[in-house]
Amino acid sequence: MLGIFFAILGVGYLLVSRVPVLLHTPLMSATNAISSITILGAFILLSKSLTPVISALTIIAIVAASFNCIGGFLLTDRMFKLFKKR
Amino acid sequence: MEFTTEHLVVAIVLSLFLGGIALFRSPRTARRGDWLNMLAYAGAVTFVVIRYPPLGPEFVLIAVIVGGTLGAILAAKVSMVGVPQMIAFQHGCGGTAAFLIAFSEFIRMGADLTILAQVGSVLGMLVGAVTFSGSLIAAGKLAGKIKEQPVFLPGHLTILFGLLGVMVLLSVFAMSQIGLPIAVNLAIGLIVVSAVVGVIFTIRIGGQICRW
Repeated sequence: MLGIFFAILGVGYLLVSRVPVLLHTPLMSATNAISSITILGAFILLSKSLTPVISALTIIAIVAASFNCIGGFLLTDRMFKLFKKR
Repeated sequence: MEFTTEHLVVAIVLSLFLGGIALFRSPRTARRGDWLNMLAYAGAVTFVVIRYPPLGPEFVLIAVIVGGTLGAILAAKVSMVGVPQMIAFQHGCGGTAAFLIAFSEFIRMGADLTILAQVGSVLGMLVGAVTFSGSLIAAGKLAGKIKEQPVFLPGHLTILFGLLGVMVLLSVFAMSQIGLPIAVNLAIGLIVVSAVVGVIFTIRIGGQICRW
C-alpha cells in the first residue's frame, strides 16, 4: 500500500509539473474537487452500525464533501467554458 | 497477494484520475480531463455504495442532495473574480469532511485499527483540520473579509513550531490510549490544535500570495 502511495506521488508530480501556467487555476480547482474523494470513507462508515453522534458527524462530512465535489467540478467546467469563448 | 475486484476498480479509478490530470497539459484537452475526473469520481462512489450499502440510504441521499445542490448553486453564481476564494472555501469544506471521517473511524474502531490505519486516521484528523481552518482564512483574505496584510504575532515561528510539537505529542498519546475514553478527548484536542495551527500558518501570508 505504501508502495502504491509513493508511486502515485511520483507520477502525480510528473504530470502536474507539465501543466502550463495558463491552466494552473483550473488544475487547482480540479484537484480540489478530487480531494473530496474522502467521501468514500464516509460511505463505508455509514454501512456499519454507528452511534448517533458518529452517524451525525459522518452525515455532516457527506454534506461537506459533496459540496466540495460538485462545486469543484462544476466550477472547473465553468472556467473551461470561458476559455472556449476567448 | 490475492487479486480481487477491489484491486481492479482501484486500478481503473486511479488510471482515470491520472489520465484526467494528464489531459490538463493542453488547454484543448483540459475540459475532457475534467470530465474524465468526474467519471472516475462517479465510478468510485458507485462501486463503494454498491459494495457497502448504507444502512440509512435516505439520510445519505438527503446529505448528498443538500451538499451537491449548495455546491452547484454557488459554483454557478460566483463571479469569475470570486473564483479563488470559492475554491479555497470548497477546499475548507473538504478538509472538514476529512477530519470528521478520520475522527469517526478512530472512535468507532478504537483498538481494532491496525497500526497503519491508526497512523492514517491521526494524519486524516491533523491534515483535515489544518486544511479546514487554513483554507477558510485564505478564503476570507481573498474575499477581502479578513485583512489582506500578513499578520505577525510576537514569536510567530516559535508559536508555530511549539504547536506542531504539541500536535505530534497529542497524536502519539491518542494512539497509545486508543480504545480508552481519553483517546476521544485527545483526538478532539488534536483537531482543535491542528485548526489553530492552520490559522497561525495562514495569517502571516498576504492575500496576494494566497492568490498565486
